[in-house]
Amino acid sequence: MYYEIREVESYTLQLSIENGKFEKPKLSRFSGRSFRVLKNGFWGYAAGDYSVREGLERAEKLAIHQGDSRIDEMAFNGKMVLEPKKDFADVDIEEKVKLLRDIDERLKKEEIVSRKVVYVESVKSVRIQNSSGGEVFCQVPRCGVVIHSFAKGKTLQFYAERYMKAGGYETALSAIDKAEKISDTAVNLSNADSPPSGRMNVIMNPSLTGVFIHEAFGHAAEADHVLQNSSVLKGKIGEKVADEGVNVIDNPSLPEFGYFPFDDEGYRAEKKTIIEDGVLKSFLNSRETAKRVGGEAGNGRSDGVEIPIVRMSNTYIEGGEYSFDELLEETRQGVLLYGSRGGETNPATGYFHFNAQYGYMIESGEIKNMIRDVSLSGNTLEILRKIKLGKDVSFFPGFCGKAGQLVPVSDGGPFTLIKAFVGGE
Amino acid sequence: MEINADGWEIYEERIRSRYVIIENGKIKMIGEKDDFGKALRVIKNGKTGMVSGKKIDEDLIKKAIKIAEISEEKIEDFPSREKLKKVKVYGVKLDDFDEDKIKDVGESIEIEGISSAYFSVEEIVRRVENSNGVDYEENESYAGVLVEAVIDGGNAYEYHESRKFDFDPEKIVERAVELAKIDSRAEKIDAGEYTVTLSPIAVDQLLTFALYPAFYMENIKKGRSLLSDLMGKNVLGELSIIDNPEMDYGINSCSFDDEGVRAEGKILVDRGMIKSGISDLINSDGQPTGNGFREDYSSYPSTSPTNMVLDFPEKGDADGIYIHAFIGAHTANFVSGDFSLELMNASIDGNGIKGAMIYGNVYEFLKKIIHFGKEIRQIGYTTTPEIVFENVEIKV
Repeated sequence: MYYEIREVESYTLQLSIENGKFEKPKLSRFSGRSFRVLKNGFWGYAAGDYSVREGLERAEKLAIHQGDSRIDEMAFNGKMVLEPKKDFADVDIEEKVKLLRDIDERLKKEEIVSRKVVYVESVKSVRIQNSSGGEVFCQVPRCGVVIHSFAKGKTLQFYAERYMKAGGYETALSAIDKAEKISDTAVNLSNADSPPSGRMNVIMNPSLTGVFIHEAFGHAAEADHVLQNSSVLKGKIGEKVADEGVNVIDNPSLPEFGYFPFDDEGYRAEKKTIIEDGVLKSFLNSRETAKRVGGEAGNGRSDGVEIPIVRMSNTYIEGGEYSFDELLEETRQGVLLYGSRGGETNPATGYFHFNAQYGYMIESGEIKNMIRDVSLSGNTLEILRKIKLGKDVSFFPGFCGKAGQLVPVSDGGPFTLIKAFVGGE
Repeated sequence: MEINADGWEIYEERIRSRYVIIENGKIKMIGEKDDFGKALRVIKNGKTGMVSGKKIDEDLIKKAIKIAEISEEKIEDFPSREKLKKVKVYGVKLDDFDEDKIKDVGESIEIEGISSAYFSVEEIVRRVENSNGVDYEENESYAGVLVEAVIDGGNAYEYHESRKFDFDPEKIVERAVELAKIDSRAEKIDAGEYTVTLSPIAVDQLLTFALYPAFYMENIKKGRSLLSDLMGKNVLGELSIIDNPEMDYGINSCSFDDEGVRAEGKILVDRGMIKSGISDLINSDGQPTGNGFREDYSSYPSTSPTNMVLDFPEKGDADGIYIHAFIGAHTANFVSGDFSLELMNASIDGNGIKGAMIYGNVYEFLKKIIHFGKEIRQIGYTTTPEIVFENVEIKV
């Protein structure tokens, strides 16, 4: 019998300013425990405020069936506390509100009909013990700001950016210089044109490249999807799945928003190469999927005391050879798209669909008029086989939802040139 | 415990559940959860702040007051006690679903082709107490099943949720398997204008993201909704929408919202004419509609629909392209109403359709309704039969 005990404590402070008004301030504390038992190849799972003994008894009682689950029981021991550059606990709440006001002030413009700035700080502490003798403790603070601007021109449009990282108050402070540009973009977008539609050349900016690599490819590399026959990558380890210049990495040790030192199964978190020189090298794994499909565990993550499942951390596509101007030249005719309003993908077929935040027409290799409400869809593997990669990689924070659980992640990449289906009105 | 404020409110929530998880057609895990938490909101000088945790101790009370003192979130007062219209929302007992019974249900849906399935039974106790004498409590229950099927490269999902265990999980699972089989043989169709039928799932996905937020008073006031200009005008053809929390065993029915406001039915759209919006306490200008809900106890209350009940004078049969679900509904822009969606498990004359899209504007789209189906289903926020639209442009 294998068992695991997880104790989670978290703290969150959220402050928002909407149209200059300091609204909905909120402080939350959470504590909880979860217990899981693997017996006769079958899982029992109990989450609640139980004593260690009662929790384990309950989980064992639920493991009443026979199954074929097996796991990597490796024990890890260690303690990791991420020290922020500037601890938000040392900053008065009044000062945080003042920062929001300063950002908000810079968002104001005649055409801006609505503004919203949200500040979030959180600390999550997790202690995990298992029946193999492993015991890990980690504590990670996260902090940042989300800025929204709504503009009315030819149409009503919004534009938003997030500045969030694992660490302290420094990330929130860094957002102040970005505010004006966010409102400028919203205003331009509200007067932008409808996009063209059809299959065409598309340059994705680093943020949209990140969303593509996370949503369209990363989810298919999660080994639980492979085991459920719902991944287009099933059976393709060792095969060429992308252009040979393509390298895709998941790295929880980078100090980005998806950072964690140990995963929520108490397994050491390490950099994983998913695609190397175009060849599929490994899937992302939990303790159980690693045993079943091969590869190393370390990507089992959980929202609160929910069941840990296979998740990404900081996922990116490495930079390549092309300068931005060279990508434009290669494109000739097409669109340049920025950011994403979210996306959805079907890991079973590799089909993806997301909406860019905004874009521009490209004509004769030159950037022309702005376009709005642009959607992008295509088949992930077809696109990866013909992708052209720019040089510099940057990361963008977000929350990834899977099986009803949200976890902090980041994704990134360089500017990239692909051929995909662009849609609009 | 003394709360030194001008007003206070405590929201309490306990959720107990038991569930079974099926993976690859075999049951894999049985689990249970007991989650409890409280949130305190205080009013100080007409402003409010909120804290939450497993328990509200003195330190948290102090922090709530500190936050309220610098807050600019105005609340005049919390609601006063009213006589509630009791609605039935408790129809399945968690204690009747011990590990053996849950295992039996799990075994009944161990069907080949199921990549994952989840069945759960849940009991909720919700309580709101405030300094104006409100002290309401409601016991609620849910049973639900969620399934994803993958067969020969085709895939599909299906789900069902009810206040009672009044459905057969096996039927839901079999439906997903059938849809996945159709999908495995899906083929491209020609682009063009078609008559299309949206399943209740597809209707709920589209309207939840593209339309319902436009009815929130907060969005109307803040310039994020076209309805500020459309109120009182006839813009949605013959469609009617009522937000109705008073249906017995409605999925989102309740006798009071999460802020202690009495829940009542409201006509939002009457034969195409926009009549009113919905609101939580803070955005209501003193006229809350009983639509303040919390995602969980630690979340601020915000506006949410209850049961959006759709109606249309003409009834008829499904016709043309049948759309089971959409991919990407959450990318719809509720501010403008624009959407662009990928069809999932769409078919025509029983033949699956591959790689088709539909895009447009929800306000224009809803004018294309020709009739409703006859069999009403509750799904998510929406209570509706299938809806048939004409002259819908399908792109491939």
